[in-house]
Amino acid sequence: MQNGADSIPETLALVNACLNGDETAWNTFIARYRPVLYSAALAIAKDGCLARELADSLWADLYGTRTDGNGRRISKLATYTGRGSLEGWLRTLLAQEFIDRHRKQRRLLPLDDNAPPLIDDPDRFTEVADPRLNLAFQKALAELKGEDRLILAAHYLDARNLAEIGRMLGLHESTISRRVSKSTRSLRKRTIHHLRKSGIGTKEAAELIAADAGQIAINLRDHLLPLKDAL
Amino acid sequence: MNERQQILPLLRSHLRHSQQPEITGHCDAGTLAAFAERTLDRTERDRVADHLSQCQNCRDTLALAAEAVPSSPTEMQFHVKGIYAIAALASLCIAAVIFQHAKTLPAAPQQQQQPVASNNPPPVLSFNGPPAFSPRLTGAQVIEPILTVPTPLWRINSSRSPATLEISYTSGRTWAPIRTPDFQPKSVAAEGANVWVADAKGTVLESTDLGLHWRRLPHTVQHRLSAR
Repeated sequence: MQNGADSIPETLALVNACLNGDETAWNTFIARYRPVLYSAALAIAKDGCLARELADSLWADLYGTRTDGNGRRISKLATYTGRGSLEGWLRTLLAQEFIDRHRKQRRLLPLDDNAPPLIDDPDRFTEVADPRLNLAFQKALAELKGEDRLILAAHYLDARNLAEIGRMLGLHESTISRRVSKSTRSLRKRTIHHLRKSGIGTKEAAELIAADAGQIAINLRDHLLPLKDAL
Repeated sequence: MNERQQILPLLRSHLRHSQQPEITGHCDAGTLAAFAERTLDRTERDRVADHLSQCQNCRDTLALAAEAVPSSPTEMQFHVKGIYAIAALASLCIAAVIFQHAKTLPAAPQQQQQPVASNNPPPVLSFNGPPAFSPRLTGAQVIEPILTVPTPLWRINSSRSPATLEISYTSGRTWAPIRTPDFQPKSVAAEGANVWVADAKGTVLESTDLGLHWRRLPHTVQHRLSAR
């Protein structure tokens, strides 16, 4: 456990007691998790006022401000299943809430007429010229482990650094670095392998990749989405 | 452009412009928390990782929640590195003190370079060398090249029964037992020709002639030594 105090069964027992309206359990819950919640909110929002608002909002949801037909409070705690630690669950709820608010707020921002277009260079979205390379790369990507694809997506799609990805996955950044290198090497190797299977020689396959490297963009998003179909 | 770099532009060129895929059925908070804490079973972990690789919303949530973890592995690694750095600094300070102390000592006669026979006590009367250290302080071997006599090393040989006190004039290559009558030494400390050994009960014997003669320290002295 993150705080070294409770096991998952003990936490579940506490949550169930809170849901059943046990005030002692609720007081225990407050004492243990309120500081966790507020410090996590501050780490996520990086702004005191916003953090407090975020944490208060979640705290209200956890306590339950509405009641069901039997007069029981409808608490967000009821959705905790014990799959992860309660602290981790609370942090994730805060992160979800923060992202939701951020996206809502972004949608409400007025449009700037002088803002650059979302796609400033449509030519860069050119599909791979050779469909055989496109298909081979797609298969190679699908053959990577899910976690390796996640690391690549976080690194190259979201531009997260190795330390950030390491924190996401509970791994050291040097491990992430090794896996990024290994995955990209594997991608190239497997792409050549699939090109060869389609009747292209090894040298020609390598040349095809090298030729396309500087000028053609593979639509990674389209490759990441239908992975299961490709397999 | 090397082979790996050939792949990177293919990925990067689109990544800068790719838009968030509209995926329904996001991971719930409990699943993401369990994923981050690596408590999911392998099958489910692969399934969640697969979803995360396709869903920027869930990746953002996971990344943001990870930022709020009080002590991440990276930070822990930093703390561990910090401890090693402090230990290394302390070692350097100790080595510097030893080096400085050794330089202040006068040179010893050449006949001291002869190794001591196993059952004979070392030639204590002519000893005028640098401080001796217990084998645990390996820094004594570091300063050996600047000395004119081999530094005697001391150790407790626990492989014998009963444990015996031993001395070496050959940088630990050979060891000679030193008699400590009716005494089972547990630890040893030395400075020059002065040697102290203690047993498990805390009794301390002192020798000022490299172990040739011993005397039991009074308890008050022992108390003062143990309080150092």
